[in-house]
Amino acid sequence: MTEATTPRREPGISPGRARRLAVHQRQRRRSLAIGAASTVAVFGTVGLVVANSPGWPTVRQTFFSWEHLQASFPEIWSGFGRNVRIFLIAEVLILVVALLLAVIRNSRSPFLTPLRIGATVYVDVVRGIPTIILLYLLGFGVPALRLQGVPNSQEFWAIVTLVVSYSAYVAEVYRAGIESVHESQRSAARSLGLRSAQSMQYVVLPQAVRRVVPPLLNDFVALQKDSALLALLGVQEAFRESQIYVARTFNFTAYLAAALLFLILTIPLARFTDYLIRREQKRTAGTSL
Amino acid sequence: MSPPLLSVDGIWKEFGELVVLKDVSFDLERHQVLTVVGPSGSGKSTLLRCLNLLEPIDDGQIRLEGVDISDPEFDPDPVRRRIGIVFQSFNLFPHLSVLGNITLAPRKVLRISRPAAEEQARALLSRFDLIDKIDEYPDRISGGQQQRVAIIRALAMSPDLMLFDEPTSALDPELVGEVLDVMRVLAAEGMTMVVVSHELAFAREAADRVIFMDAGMVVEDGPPGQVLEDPQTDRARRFLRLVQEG
Repeated sequence: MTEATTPRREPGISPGRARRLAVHQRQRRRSLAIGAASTVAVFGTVGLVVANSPGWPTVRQTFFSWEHLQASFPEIWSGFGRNVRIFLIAEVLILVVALLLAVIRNSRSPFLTPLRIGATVYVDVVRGIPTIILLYLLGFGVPALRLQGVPNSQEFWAIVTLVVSYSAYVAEVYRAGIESVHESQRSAARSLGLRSAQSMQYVVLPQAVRRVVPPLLNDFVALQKDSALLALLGVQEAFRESQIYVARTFNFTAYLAAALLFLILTIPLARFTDYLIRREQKRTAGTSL
Repeated sequence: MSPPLLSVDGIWKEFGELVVLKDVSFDLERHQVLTVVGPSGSGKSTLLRCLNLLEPIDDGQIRLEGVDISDPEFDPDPVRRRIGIVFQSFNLFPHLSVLGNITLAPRKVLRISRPAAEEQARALLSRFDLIDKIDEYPDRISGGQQQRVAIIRALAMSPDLMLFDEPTSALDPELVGEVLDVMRVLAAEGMTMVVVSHELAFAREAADRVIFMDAGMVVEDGPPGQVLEDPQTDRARRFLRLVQEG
């Protein structure tokens, strides 16, 4: 019997390889050229239309004034600190409350039946009410009850509203994650003698949470933006401060300043979320096509 | 005389209209190896899931050392830790390392301290030549290695009985041997085992007894020499001819 010999690659570039390289390079250059040309055409046209519109000089003065941007910035910046504090506190509470809701809805114990019904009704009702209405109901309604020992601060009720509203959505995200873990993982855990709750805690939840990190971050971005709703309760956050500035000066650039501050936080977070999704896809798919 | 380790007594299992196990009975003494063969859909995997109490049976009794563990009022969790099961698709926990997979149940179910559980895991991994994979995650090791880790994970609970549900049928052919080797070692050491498998060579050399199942019934039951070489029924003869021709 003869040993199979391993073919050896000839040094240098064979005609076949050279042709492949040339074609690929041509295709790549073509795509780049088309992409650049269409981008310039679209954005150029939009720019021209806006700059030549009759109202552009006024809009530029009222929305894009450098002086007003600088002048309004310090107050809006300090208001934005309040946004950050509020949405950070709210996010931590949301993640905890939503996880509890999701676990309760997925539990099978008969003792938890009332809680399970409660959690289901809660998620259905809260998801069906616009956040802005919830904000008015909780932010103005509950303090008006003048209950003993219940805080009256607007900021407190603002955070409560965000937690109530978002935990219903985030609970559904968790639940989708829990249901995406294959039943065989539970079987394996139970076969080793782990009880139902232990299987959930040590086997199902760690896998579920890992899978839903991108959608959770997505909801976190939405929460950051919605912290501007608190202006409606009179909380002195970034949007409220810009409203105050606008009312004083009749120049709208302050809104742009607030928008920019939100973007500085949300864009990197959105990019990071995309990166996590791509990494997960690469890990599970394993193919480039 | 003490009762057999495992005693299956006239069990029935139904999924709605579909009857999957029909009056299945057999006994298994301690240190015996039983191989279950039969065409797909004959109820072999369901039988194992019932023995492990992952599926409740509809009638009959499953007794472990004389105690009816299939009684509907019996708490199944303490029983499952005495019966290890190895799945066709391994079912390792992907978020845990090899070490984490092996130590999870001993720590959380048997309440063994982490150092003690890890020491035991290291000893088992060394014995089966997997110690260099101790910190790897399941998706970084081969199918054969994953299945060997799954066997060790079950062994770490020091079970009285080990169930194997077609442990090699999801493996590439060149990886089957390393898994069967582990099972041979366990059999030689006296582990009581129920093995659902089409590996007839393994059944011939390692099994004390072979059961042939068809359509939810035990059709043949005897030593491997008899059931595999000289089956009494046409159904078994046809099936074995097909399997042997490969």
